Amino acid sequence: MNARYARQIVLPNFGISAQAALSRAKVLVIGAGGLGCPALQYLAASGVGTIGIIDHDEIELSNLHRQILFDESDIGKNKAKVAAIKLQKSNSDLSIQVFETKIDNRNALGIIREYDIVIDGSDNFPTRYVVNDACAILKIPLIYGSVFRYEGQVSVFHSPSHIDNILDRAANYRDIFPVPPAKGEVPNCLETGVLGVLTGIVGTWQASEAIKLITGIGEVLSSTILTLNMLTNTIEHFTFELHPDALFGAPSNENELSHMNYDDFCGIKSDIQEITWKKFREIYSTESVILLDVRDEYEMPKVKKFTYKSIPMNDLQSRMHELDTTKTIVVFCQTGKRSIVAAFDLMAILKLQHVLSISGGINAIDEN
Amino acid sequence: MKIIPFGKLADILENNVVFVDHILDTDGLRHALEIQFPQISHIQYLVAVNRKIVTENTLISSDATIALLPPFSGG
Repeated sequence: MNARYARQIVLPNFGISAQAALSRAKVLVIGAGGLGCPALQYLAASGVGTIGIIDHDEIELSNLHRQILFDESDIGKNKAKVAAIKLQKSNSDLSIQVFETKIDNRNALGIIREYDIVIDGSDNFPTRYVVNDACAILKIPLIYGSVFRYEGQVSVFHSPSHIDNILDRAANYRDIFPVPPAKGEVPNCLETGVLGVLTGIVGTWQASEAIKLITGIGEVLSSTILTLNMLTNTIEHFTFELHPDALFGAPSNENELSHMNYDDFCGIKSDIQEITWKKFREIYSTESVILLDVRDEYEMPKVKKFTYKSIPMNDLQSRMHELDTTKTIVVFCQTGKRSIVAAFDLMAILKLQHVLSISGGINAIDEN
Repeated sequence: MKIIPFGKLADILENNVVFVDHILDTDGLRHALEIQFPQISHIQYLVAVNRKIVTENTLISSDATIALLPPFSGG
């Protein structure tokens, strides 16, 4: 063991004891993607004894520019499973646990409680909030990392060595972002793009914070967000204070967490039903429906075969009262994206049980 | 006062002169930004004064550096 890790054991303040602490440590990595892959590779190489990997996704060609643990032959396979095989090859001492599932309010506590540290490499707000809240309840440190185009953020939440005496807790993601942004407000990598090198740096930085927490060396980023910008070569630190009201909307115990709907909380209504034009035709012939076009006036083509009402997205809030809410409302737009947001707004504001959205929008209409 | 916008806010403020004359505090700054850039009113962001994130209205001195930090979710 010592030969393998000799170059880090020899470091000042590291030694055999830090290496032994690494080999006893159990780290869970949420998402084997752009952030998770580099974090996993360095954690495995450094001698962390037990690593959990959770990811329900399959490897795609468009992942390979940043998820360099994977290669072309892995396309179509589960990320967590492939990552485990590759990491095991790199370090046979490693004990790896694979979870081919999506982490959510029902399974988060059961999975997370078996680990000492969690690294969040997820790519969406519902997952980030459920992981944060589960770690807060279980008092397990969480290493947060996220990216946007050429920029990254890193921080450490729930650090056991940074407990505030008055609030009896450490910094929490909710101290800075108590509520999630509205759906669509923060675009994801799919929509905005991301430089592969950036996720490599941010994920590696998360692994570094994990190693520091486990071995007790250096200072971790508790109550501090580190930001980095690849284009300007700027790295900055922003400090924040714990906020007494920050946990107002958060579950306070395991039972509350397991009943919390994080999709709703993050504005992503999980029960908005998307239908095809074919299905719409069936409903149109049997039920009393309103077909609602939320596109702007200039957008073409117009619908000819069905009676419809037009309220552009920007006027929706002020003109919602024009809709007869005893009828089933079916919303469409050009591509099927705006109509989901519109359906969500209609359900929330008009307190409707269900509003349908046409998948693919007018672009998917079959004139026959 | 120097303003450093991050993420999507950098897109919105980029190549624009931000008018911050007579702004005394962070509430005043948020208000002035929303008037000049209406799309900002729909975006959640943190304000940091001299690299300290503030959640309550905070005085801004004329030589302060202000950062505007939206949340990111990408991974």
